[in-house]
Amino acid sequence: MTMGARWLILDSQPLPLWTNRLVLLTRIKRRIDPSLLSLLAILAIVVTIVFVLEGGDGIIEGLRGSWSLTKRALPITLLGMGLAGTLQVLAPPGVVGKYMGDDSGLLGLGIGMAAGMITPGGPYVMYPIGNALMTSGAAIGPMAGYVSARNLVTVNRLVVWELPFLGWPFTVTRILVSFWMPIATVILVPIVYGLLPQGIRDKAPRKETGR
Amino acid sequence: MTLGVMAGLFLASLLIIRWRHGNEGVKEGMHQTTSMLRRIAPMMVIGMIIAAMVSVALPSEVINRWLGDESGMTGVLIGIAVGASVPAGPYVVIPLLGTLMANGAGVGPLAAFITAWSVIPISRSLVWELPFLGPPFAISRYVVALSFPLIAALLAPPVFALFD
Repeated sequence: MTMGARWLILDSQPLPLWTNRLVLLTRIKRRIDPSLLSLLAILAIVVTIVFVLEGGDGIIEGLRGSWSLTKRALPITLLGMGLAGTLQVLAPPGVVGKYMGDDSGLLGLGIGMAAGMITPGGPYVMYPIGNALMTSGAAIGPMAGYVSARNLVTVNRLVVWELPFLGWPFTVTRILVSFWMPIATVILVPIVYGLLPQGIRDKAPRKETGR
Repeated sequence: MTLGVMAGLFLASLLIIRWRHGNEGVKEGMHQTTSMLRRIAPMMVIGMIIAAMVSVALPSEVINRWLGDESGMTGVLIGIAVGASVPAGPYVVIPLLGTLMANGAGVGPLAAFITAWSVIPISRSLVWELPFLGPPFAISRYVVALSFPLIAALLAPPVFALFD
C-alpha cells in the first residue's frame, strides 16, 4: 500500500475499475520485470532468425557486433547515468509538478515541460504521475506539455541512450527538429480537446473536489 | 568530445549537489545512479545483442535500399510505421537505431522512426495513456502529434548537414 504507484491510483476514483486491476497486474509483473521478459523473448526470436539465415557464423558475428557496440557506448552511458542520478537530487520531478495547476498560465506550461524532461523511468512511472497531476487539477495544456516533453526530449534518454548510441550530431539534430513539438502540443491539444464531443470529454479523469 | 562534455556536466552537477545538499546529497545521487544501473544493465546488454543480431539478419544493402538516404518517402513511411508499432523501450530501440545508422540508414527515416516511437507509440498508448490519462486527452494528443514524425523527417536532413 505504501508503493507510490498504488496510492496514486487509489487517489483517482474516475478511472474505470479494470485499470485498477491492470495496475495490480503490472505491479505483480514488475517483480519479475516485464521489460526484461519481453526483451528476452525478442532476443530469442532474433537469435533464431539469425541462426536460420546465417547459421552459427551469423551468431558469432552478432556477438562481435554487440561487443563493439558495448565498447563504444559504455563510458558515455555510465557518465549519463551518473548525471541522471544527480539530476534527481537537484530537481525531483514530484516537487516540480506541483506548480502546473489550472491558473498557472505560461509558468505552468513551462513547468509541465520541465517536469516531463526530468521524469525518469519507464511508462510505469510517468503515466501514474500524469494521472495524479490530472486528478489534482493540472490543465490540459500543461499535461500535453508534460507528456510530449517526457516522450520527446527527456534528459535521461538523451544522456543515457541517444548520445552514446547515436552520437552528438544526430542527437542535436533531433533536439532541434523536435523541441517545438511540446510547445505545439501545449497550444493545439487543448483546442482539439475542446472540439471533441461532450460524450468523449466526459470520460476524462476528473478533478476531484474538496482537495 | 562527447565524453569530455558529459564528464564536465557530471562533475559540475556533483559540485552543485555538494554545495547545496552536502555529502548526503552526493550519496543520494550515487544511490539513484546505482539503482538505475542495476535495473538497466541487464536490459542494456540484451538490447545491444538484439541490435547487433538485427544488423546481421538485415544486411547493409537491404537497410540502404529501404531506409537509406535515397529511399525517399518510402524510407520515411517505413520509419514511421515501424517506430509507431515497435513495443520496446529505449533499451532496444536506440541501439537498434545506432546499428541501422552505421549500416546506411538515412537521417530522415531515422528521425521519422525515433519521433514516431516517441509521440505515437501504439502499444504504450493503449496500455498506459488511455487508462491513465483518459480517452479525450489521448485522442486530442494523437490528432496533434500525428504529423510530427513526418515533419521531423523532412527537417532533420538539412539540420544534420550543418553538423556533419
